[in-house]
This record gives sequence, C-alpha cells and structure tokens, in this order.
Amino acid sequence: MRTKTIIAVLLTSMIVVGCRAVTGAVVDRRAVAQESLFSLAGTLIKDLFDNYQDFSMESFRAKVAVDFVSSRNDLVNNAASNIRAAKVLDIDFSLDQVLSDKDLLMVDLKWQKRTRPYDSSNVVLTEGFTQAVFKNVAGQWLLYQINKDNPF
Amino acid sequence: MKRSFYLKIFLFVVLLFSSALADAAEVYYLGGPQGSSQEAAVNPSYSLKQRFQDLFSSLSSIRKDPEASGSISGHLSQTVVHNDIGGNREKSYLKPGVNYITDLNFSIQEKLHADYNFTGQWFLRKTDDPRVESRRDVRLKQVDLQVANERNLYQFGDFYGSFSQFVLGSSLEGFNMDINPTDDQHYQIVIARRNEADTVANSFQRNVFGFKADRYLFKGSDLFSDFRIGVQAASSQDDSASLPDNHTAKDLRNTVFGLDGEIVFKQGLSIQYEYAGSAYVEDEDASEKTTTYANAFRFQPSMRLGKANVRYLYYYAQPKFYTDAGSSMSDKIQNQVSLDYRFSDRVNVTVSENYYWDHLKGSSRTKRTFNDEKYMTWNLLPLASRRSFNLRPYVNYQVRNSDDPGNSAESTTLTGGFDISDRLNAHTNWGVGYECRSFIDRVTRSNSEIFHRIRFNWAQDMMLWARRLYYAITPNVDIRHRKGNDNKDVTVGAGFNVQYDLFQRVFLRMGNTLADTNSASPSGDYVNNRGFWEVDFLVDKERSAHFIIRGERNNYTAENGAQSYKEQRVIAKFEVNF
Repeated sequence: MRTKTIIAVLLTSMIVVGCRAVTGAVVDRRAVAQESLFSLAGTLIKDLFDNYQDFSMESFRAKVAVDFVSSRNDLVNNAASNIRAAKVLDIDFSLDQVLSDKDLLMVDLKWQKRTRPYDSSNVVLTEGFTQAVFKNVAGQWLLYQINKDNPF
Repeated sequence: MKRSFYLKIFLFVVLLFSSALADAAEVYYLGGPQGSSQEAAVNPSYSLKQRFQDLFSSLSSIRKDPEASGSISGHLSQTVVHNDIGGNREKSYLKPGVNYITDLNFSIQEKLHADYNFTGQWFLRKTDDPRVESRRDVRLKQVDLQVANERNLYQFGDFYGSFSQFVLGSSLEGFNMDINPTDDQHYQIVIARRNEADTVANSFQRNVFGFKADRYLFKGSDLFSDFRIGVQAASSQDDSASLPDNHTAKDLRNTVFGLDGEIVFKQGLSIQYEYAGSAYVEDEDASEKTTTYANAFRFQPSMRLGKANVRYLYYYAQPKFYTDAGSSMSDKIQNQVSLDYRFSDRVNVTVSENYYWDHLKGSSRTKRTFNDEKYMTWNLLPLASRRSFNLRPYVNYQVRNSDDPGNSAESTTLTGGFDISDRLNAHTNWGVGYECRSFIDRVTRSNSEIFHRIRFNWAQDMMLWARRLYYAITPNVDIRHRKGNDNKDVTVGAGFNVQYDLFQRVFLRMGNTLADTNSASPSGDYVNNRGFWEVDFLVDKERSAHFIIRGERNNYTAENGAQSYKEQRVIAKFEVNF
C-alpha cells in the first residue's frame, strides 16, 4: 500500500513538473498529416512485397534494419527458404491503421498471398493480419519489426 | 525475495531521478526550461468567431494559412470494383460482383493557449468487401487526438506505444503522455488497451499500463556525446469482467520491468544495453495459478576505428521470459559480430558472424539447436571512369546442428550471388542479378536442393511524340533442382511496365507479368499471366484530385485443370485532398 502511494506521488510530481516547466517554445511537434502517413505506408509495404516476390538475399536484406526485432538473419533466411519452396504468384493487401512515433512508423495491414509450392500442383491461398514497424535510419525507412502473422 | 529485489530497484530509480526532479523544480521558478536556447513562440489570442471562420475558410484552399488559428484538411477516396471470376473459384480470394470502398481521412489543427496546439485525426471506412472489413457499417478505423507543444505531448486515441525493445512496442488505444520537463529528462505514461474483448476469439479485453523515465547525464562533457539511462515498466492485464460468465478465456497478467540505456563516447565507441525482468501468470482464474519470473538481456557495443566500424550483439533471454506488449525471442543466446571496412571510396566490405542456440536451463525443448551463420558482402565501383557501375557480390554460409543423438537438425545452406546496377545515361538504367542457394539436409538427403535465380532489368525514360514515355522490362529465370529427381522446376518470367503521358492531365499506365513453369512434379506445369491497364485523369492539380479507371486480368492455366482460374477486375477510383 505504502509503495503504491510513493509511486502515485512520484508520478503526480512528474506530471506537474512536465506541465508547468515549459511556457513557450517553437511548435514543431505537430502530428504528420494522416493522409501522408497512409501514402508512405502503402508505398513501403508495396515496395517490400515487390522485393520479396523478386527475391534476392542481398536486396531483401537491404530493406531490413540491422537491429530488426528479434533477428534480421532469421527473417531473411526464413524468407529465402520460403521462396525456395514455393513460387509467389501474387500478394494483395489493404491498410488498416498507420501510426507514427518519432522515428517509427507502424502499419496494420491485412494481406492475401497466393503461392504455388514446387512440390505440389495445388495453388495455396494464405491470408493474415500483420503489424509491421518501419524505422527511419538515415532517411531510409527499413523494416524494424513484424508482429502477428509473418507474410514472408 | 522477489519483492525485496524489485523494491531495491525502485529505490535506485527514485535516487537516480530525484535530483532530476529537484532540477526541474528549480528551472520552473527560474522561468524556463533548462538549457533551452529557443525563443518563446506563443500563439496569438483568437476570438471564437475568428476560430470558426479560419476553420471553415481553410476548406476553400489546399494551401493552409500558417497565421490562421486552425484548419481542416484531409483525403477522400471512393473506389468501386467489379470482380469476375472463372474456373476454380476457390483459388481466388475475390468474390464475384461489385464491391465499394470509401475511405475518409480528415484532420483538424487548432492553435491553443500559449504554445500548445491541438491536432485531431480521424480515419473512417465503409465497405462491403469482406476481404477489407468483416462489417459493413461505417468503421472508425483510427482516431488520434493530441495536445502538444515542442516538449510535451498529451495524446488520446490510437497510438504506437514504444518504450524499450523488451518492455513495450505495440499499437494501443487509450492515453499517452510524453513529457520533457528539461533537456535531460524524459517521461512517458501509457494507460491504454491492447485489444477489445472478443467472444469469437474467446479473449478478454487486454489493458496495458506503462511508465518510462529517461535521464540524460553528463551534458556538455568532454568524454560523452550522449549518456542516457532509462527505466520502464509495462503491465498487460486481462479484464475478466469484459466477457460473459460462461467464457473459457484465460486471464493473463504480465509485467515487464526494464532498465536500458545508451552511452556514446566522443571517441567513437557507443554502447546500447537493456536488462528486463518479467513476471507472467498465464491464467489468473486458474485454481492453481503460478507466476513465472525470468530475465532477458542484450548488450550492443559498436565502435568506429578509422575506416572500420565494428558492432557486437550479445542477446540472452531465458526460456520463461515473456513479454506481451514488447518483443523478444525467448530461450536463446546469441553472439553476433559485424565489421564494415572501407578500403577506399570504391571498395567497401561487410563481414558478419552470427552464432546462436536455444535449449537454455529450464527450456521445454527436447534438444539444443545451434545456428552458425557467416555473411560477407562487397560493395564495389570497379570502373574509375564509370562511377554509376556498381557491383555487389555476396556470400552467406549457414550451418545448423543439434545435440540430440540423431542430430536431426543438421543442415548446411550456402547462398552466393551478385547484383550489378548501372546507368547508361540520364534516362536509361539497367541491372542484372544472379543468386544460387544450395541447401543440404544432412539427415534426409532427398530434401536437399539447389536453386538458381537470374534477373535482368532495363528501364528508360524518353520522349515520344513530345510526351514522356517510361518503360521497364524485367525478364527472369528460376531453376530448382531437388536431389533424387532428374527433372528440374524451371520458371521463365517476363514483366513490363509502361507509363505514357497521353495529355497534360491524362496518364496511361499498363503492365504485364508472365510466369511459365515447367515443373519437376507430374502434372505440375502452369502459366500465370497477369496484366493491367490504367487511365489516370488529373481532375484538379492543386487538390491532387484523380479519377482512375483500371482493368486487371489474372489467368492461371495449369496442367492440372482443376487448379485453373481466371480473374477480371474493373476498378473506378476517385480521390481528392482537401
């Protein structure tokens, strides 16, 4: 109980300090226009899927951040194995949400992928919901994280 | 024991940040943020009438007046799609008939008291396309309400909560506060939900509470250019009252505490680190609930040494480490070293060694798997007289082993290839690429295979009848040979894309992608031919208003006729900014 009280007092103090310490600075923290973020997100996702379909290890690797969570090598190797196992016929997607936080861009998307495994004559349809996070590294947006279904 | 451990950590944090609070208070009475050299830019005062006038008059032009008290902006798009599907409809993710999608993004900006600004953003969607939305009513897909100035942000709605890697990195819905009282302090508080209750998925509403504090030390030091230490905690808690009583959902509780930081020396060495501890209860409603505690740690130094840049990563996560709102790969130890070396402005080499394994103490896996990966890539400009000619050879060697008696994971993968790109003149680019990937399954030899991929591309921008013409051609060949099968899978592909500026405001686009596969498996041959054409009318240049008519065709013709399908789509789309 006492610990909770201390935490509450500490948090309240910080809020008060945060609210009162600043009384006038140049505004540059406006949210980026949502439509611009959607346009950017659509371009990044399409570019990533095109790159995956026209896969080479080096070019796909170049789209993924060095500090990709949790492992860039695992993602790239997994993608390379899947490309080796099945021909990707097409991938379609629609954006659900696009959020930004400092140098990160989070994109929620639904996707449908059609593949033709080399060892089968059946066309396989897969679909999923992915949360892809891009990171701005020296002006270039690189894939930083993938949550939920991995389309690669 | 655990309680006392966390109490000690808490006291450490209080001591660390207490001096910061004292500084902040002093700064307040001095009348400005510490170390801030920026001039105050307080918003003028506006009458209510003026605010309404500014808001609605902003709709008349796409260029918003920066002196105005506020503005409305946005983007509207309306799409109507007609789908026609023939052959095996189960192989199509489209549904025959007509679908529509209406998307509306709009934002309101308003200048507030002092230097604060309000920004409200909404994204609404209505569609009857089940691929896009499961419900047909108007959906509020995203809402974001912010009051912010240069240092502080108070946000309500959808946001991306981002602390450290192990603790929090997730899209959330709720309240987010991000404040910087002085140049050397940063605090963030998150009170939100991660997902709503879902009767179909049998899951409770999940709430997330988080707190983060960063302290930047040694400002102005001769030794450090940056020295940040941060503490954070995030707790994910299911709300068991969010579903009716007859549910069987599990009531999760997960708390992760993290200590992270970044130290950048002026001499070129930088260190990033993070330690996190997790407490996890899978089901609080279970009769015998147990809390599992585990730790994770990562350490990433990097250093510039003349022409070399060396990076190292050590990653350790115990098997029981669990983070609901953050990211981790538990049950893993990883060591990774990378070296970038620039021999000259025309020769650059990157070498990487990555070694990791699982099955740590307490693991539920039956065996330990080791992965050893080596990667080397060169970035070369071989022709001094032709700097646009770029050659990038690369090689990757990966060995996998396990400690079970049969070494059931043993395999070797060797990938090698090169990419060449060049610019012939200001309007013409070309490139070629080759990659060979050899996979040897040392346990089941018949799974071994070798895969070749050859790609070529040619793109040109030119004038034709005084109008711009852009075209790109991309032929490619894939060859796959599986051990034990004399036949090969051979896919020959060709793609082309064209854009022609028919008139000043009318653009014609078209493209086609062909893949013809001669399969090694019986009755496996197929031809996939996809194409589109598009006429884009620029209705209003200032508002970027477009009316687009597009046709798409996708024919998949297989030797096994039951797999064949044909898709045809006609799409009409109108979009405009306001």
